[in-house]
Amino acid sequence: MVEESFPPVPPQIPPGWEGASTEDAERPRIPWEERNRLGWADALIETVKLIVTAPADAFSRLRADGEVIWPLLFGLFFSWLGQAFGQMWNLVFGQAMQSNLGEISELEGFGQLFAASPLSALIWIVVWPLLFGIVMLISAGIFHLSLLLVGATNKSATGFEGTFKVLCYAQVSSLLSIVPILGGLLAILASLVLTVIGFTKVHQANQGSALVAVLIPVSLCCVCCLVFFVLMIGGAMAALTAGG
Amino acid sequence: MAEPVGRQFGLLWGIAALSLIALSPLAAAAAGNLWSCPFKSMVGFACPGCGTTRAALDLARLDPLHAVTHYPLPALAWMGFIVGGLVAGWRAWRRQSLPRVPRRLPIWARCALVGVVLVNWAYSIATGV
Repeated sequence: MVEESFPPVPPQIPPGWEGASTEDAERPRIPWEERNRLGWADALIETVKLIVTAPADAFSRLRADGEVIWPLLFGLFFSWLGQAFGQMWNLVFGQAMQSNLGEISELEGFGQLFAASPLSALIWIVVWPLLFGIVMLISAGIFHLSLLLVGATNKSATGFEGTFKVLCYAQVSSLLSIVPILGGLLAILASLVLTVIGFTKVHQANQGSALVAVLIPVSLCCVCCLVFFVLMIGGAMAALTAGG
Repeated sequence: MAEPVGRQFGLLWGIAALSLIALSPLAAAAAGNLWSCPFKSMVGFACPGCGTTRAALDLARLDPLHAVTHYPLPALAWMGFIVGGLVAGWRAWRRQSLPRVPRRLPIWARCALVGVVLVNWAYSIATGV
């Protein structure tokens, strides 16, 4: 490894990106990256609107500009909101979910997941910002490995930075956690859809390879999560039926 | 002027590794609240990701030998993340260069990656993880 001298080198321009720099400078950017011009609140709202209404357009505006922390903070804001709502719904409906899941003998103790106390919910909400960076870094690493595996980054101009940014901006889906009980599940599904669209645009990959790249970690690492979600829907339905 | 992206990721990785080390004493307390794998509960054998949490808990208890022998791939991945994070964070802090993430993997590396995951899964099923 060759050591660099101080001061640091400017942001590295990936191979194949140099020629596109002029054209790239003229392309519109995602509003959050123009927050200094638009104002923070407007940039935040406009970014959400763009990602919700035209996700392909939103992700095609991402570029390898060396900005990592601000997309992370954007993702943290929405993820934290999602966690707060999730914990709140757990407090409200957790008891019913717990008792319904507890009736399934193979899942003994599994209902504990919904046994949130106000204190544990508060601790989780406070600790989440610290965990979020770790989660995003590990997620980006796993997804990028999967993208490399299926060859979806061959034409990519943004590399790992693009993967990381897509995952950060896809956190807008956490807003769906406002929906009681099933909001968390909807948020994850929406996040996966946004991630596929994002990878397609950011890495110039075809939709098939982007979809496979997203599904590989989900199926390998989260097979149990898929089973869990199916059970959660069943438990939620049972809880609502019992409540009604 | 923005910092080089490699340096930002290096610092972020370093902070993540340090945070995991700092949070490790809480792992024992969290262990009691964890639920068993629903896939294993329903199907009867380990899922490909089984052992990831237990490997982390073993490492948090400073028992790497148990972690590696029982959950080899997750244990090595966690250790790689921590050690790699400390090295990357240190180098980024010192403004030294970091290796770039490759844009494509050779076919042998892809095959090896798939093979390692499958072998680890088979090991998990065989040992009843």
